[in-house]
Amino acid sequence: MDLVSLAELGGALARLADPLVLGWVLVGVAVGAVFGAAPGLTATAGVALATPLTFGLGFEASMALLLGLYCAGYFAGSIPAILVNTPGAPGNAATALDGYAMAQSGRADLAIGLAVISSFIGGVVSAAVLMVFAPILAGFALEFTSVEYFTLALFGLTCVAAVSRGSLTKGLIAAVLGMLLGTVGIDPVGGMSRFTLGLPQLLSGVSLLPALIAFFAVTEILAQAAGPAAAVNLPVQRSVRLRELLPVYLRHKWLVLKSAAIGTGIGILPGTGPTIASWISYGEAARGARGEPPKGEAFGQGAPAGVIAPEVANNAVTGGALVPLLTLGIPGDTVTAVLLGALLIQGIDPGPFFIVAQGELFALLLLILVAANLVVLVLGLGLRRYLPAILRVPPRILIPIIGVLCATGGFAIGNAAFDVALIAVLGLAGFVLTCFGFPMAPLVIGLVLGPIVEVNLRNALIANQMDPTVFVTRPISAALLLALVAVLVVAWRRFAADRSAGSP
Amino acid sequence: MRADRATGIATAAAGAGLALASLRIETIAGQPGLSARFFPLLLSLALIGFGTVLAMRPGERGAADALGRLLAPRTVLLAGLLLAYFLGFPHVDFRLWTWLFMLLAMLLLGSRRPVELIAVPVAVSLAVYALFRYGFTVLLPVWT
Repeated sequence: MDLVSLAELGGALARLADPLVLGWVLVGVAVGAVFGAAPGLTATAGVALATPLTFGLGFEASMALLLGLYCAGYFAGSIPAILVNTPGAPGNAATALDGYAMAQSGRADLAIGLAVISSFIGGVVSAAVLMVFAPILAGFALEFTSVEYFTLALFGLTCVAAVSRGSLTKGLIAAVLGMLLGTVGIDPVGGMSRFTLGLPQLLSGVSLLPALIAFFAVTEILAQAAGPAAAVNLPVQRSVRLRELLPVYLRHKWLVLKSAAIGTGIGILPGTGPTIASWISYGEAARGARGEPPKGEAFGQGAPAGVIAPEVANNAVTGGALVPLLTLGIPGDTVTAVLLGALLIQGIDPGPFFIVAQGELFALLLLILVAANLVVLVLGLGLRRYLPAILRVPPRILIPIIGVLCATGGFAIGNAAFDVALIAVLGLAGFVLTCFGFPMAPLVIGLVLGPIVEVNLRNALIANQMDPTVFVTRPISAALLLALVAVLVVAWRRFAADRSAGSP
Repeated sequence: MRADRATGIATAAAGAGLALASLRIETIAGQPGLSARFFPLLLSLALIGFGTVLAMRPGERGAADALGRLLAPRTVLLAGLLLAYFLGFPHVDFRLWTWLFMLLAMLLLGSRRPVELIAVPVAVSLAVYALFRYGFTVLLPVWT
């Protein structure tokens, strides 16, 4: 299959050059930076809240807003991670290890500079990978039948449950609960009503956007209210010039490439995300460190490589995660699960025919992704000395504002009172689950992938005369099932080791 | 009692209830392939299985610890306030309702400065109203 043609690329460039579109990229990056940097709020919550707003916007403006939010959200969580040892998002937790140590030794400016540039490199490399490999994968995806879709969705679901923090069993329970929520409404094959509790509003199922706002934003603000406020108390900092960063990157050029490859590769796997990518990259960086480090630059004590690796990887996930979304219609992570909803709002149905039929829109998405990363770079470097101010918005003001935005955003989805009530009920339920250690990511991915799993399971069996061996006799399906078993075995061993070590 | 044991038992019980509810889903006689009740029933059984595993192999955390976080007075009050705000949202004037919610939530979360308590709720309710009404042309509930 051909790559995107020059004519399509030119057309996309012309659409991106609209000052209004660039303005929305800027707005997205600014809002994403706030969501990413505020501990407890995530890029997913930001994108979920912003998606209802895109009803009134065109395709270019909506994608500019959401992709700007996506890129900035994944990067900005590194700021509180570096400054106050509180990752803004789970994907920035690895950055806190060395970033905070750098801030404590007066090198916060250097650490934030490294985080900004690393995020830019990760984002741009992954966009390039998306440009080159997505069309190839789209051609490959055309060979997929319901058998492969079923195993792929099941694999993605298992990945999320397995990589969730805490207990593997709880991750799996959360995934099952999400899939059960996905069965609410009219049965997609037979048309029978299921679990609607007599409410006509539930006949069309539990809407994804209210559920996302509930499980990420409402759950998080209740969790924030329940937790202690973080202290902001920084030591005197030393400024660095941009040119001082170049030798650091030259010293770690292979690490940058390796981390970008890890982030993009993990992003392509449906149901993963920046958290696992950043930890694997950090682990690889620490494993590959050779020789005696300079004083104060050992891993865990302020190593620049300990900031570069996770930040390159977690932003490389952005382009990677768009590959399964745009080629298979399967979200690569929680943010792309929300983006799927945003694309549907715009009348775009991502899947194997998207790139073939709408090459210019695909090219436009790539260019917006690169533009968003560029804006993150410019703003991040320009504002890095003022960024700690974001953290000074006190939780007593920030939490109620987010509550207002949750309700207003939920209402804006369809001017429906039911959606707002649904957000409240699901948000409280999500908070109860969180208190008992159940992760939210598998629940949401279960809600997204559950219907895909069910429909394709039923279609695959009907198409193959109810022969269940078809899932192991078709090579791609068999390989995915093997990978699924491997993921479960590895995760089970890891959780067992954590248990015996006494970690929570 | 350990938190995981309690949640494991609750999960298995919920799974059993959902399994019974799944069996009540109507089916079409002679429909080819799997019926509408198959997938929910399968998931309910998985819930029973995973719940049992969780109850039998619980972590160290006590139920009192989890409940303590859940039932902390500030959390319960904020949850109640959020619930009231969300349920009342479509029925009360957005500007008034949001101002009241902001004021009460800020008081609950420890805000005591008079200027902050006067300015922030008014500014937020008007700014969000203006953003959605005029920026995104969303018709928010208003009393006319």
